[in-house]
Amino acid sequence: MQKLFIHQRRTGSFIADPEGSLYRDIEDALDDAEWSARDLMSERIRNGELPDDSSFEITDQAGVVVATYSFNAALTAPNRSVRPRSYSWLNSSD
Amino acid sequence: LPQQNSVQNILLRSMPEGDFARLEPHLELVDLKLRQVIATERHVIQDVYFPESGICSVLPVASGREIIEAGLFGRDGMTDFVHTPGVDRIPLRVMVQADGQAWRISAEHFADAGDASPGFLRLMLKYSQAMVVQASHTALSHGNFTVPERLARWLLMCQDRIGDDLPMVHDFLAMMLAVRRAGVTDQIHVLEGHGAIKARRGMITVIDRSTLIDLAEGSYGQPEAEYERLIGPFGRPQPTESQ
Repeated sequence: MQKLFIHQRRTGSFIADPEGSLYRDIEDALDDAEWSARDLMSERIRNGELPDDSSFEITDQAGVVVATYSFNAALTAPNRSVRPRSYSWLNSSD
Repeated sequence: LPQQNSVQNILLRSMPEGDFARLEPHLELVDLKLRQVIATERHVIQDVYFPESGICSVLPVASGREIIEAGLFGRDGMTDFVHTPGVDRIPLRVMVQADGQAWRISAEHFADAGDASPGFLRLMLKYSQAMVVQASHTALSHGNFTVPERLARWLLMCQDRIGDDLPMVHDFLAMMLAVRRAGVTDQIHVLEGHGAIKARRGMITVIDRSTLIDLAEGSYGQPEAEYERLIGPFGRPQPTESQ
């Protein structure tokens, strides 16, 4: 597992992910990025906005960009993965 | 032993003196730690918790991996919200989402108090009604309100219970609001832009409550009013330093 951060770039602004999360690998983080992009786009469309050129930048703990994910990819490419839903800590405390 | 007029838990403060006296010898002050599960869908309820501080979430879980927040409570509540004689479990999980302390009592001693006093049972049933109203409005919020409106409501509910500084990690918040973590980060950014909150790593501070109420677009308030009608005022949480 490694800690990776999913920052968002949207029409000139940068929305930093201050906390990051643990992922198995970069592919795992890209899966999360894909479904996050779908969630954000659907919420925005529901609120009357149009899809834009938003993207995610995935960085490691040193701040190095290890991957990017364009929101457009979620509209034009087939699903990368089955929607990941489980929370890693869900059954850890009982 | 706790004195009734010095406890923070509103239910303990609100019960008739005689009922509190019955519970008092069995109350033990314990810590509540983030992500600690204090009731689970899989086991008989062994202990009942009355939080003095902190926040607990009521969570339905399906298929071992789907989860959402159906309700929350702090010093306004307790972990047993059914109080039905002979019922010893409920298929819901209760998890700590902000550190605090609670008075803990065994389920057996708690049940004895209910058997001994209709007044005690009446208070417990009023609390049940307040929780049903809160859970109903949470369902309405999840279904019919946008993410920023839900987030605003949720922050107001947390502020009611622990004050302006809310120690919240985005990962956990995402589960509470049934969105992915990036969605939480995105909307916290939006609420900051409105000047309603200030966020830093692991902490959200409410700056402007009235703006948050506006942003909640009517999704906040009815359950709180019902609680105050049935049980009593929330008041403002005491700063941790003075407890």
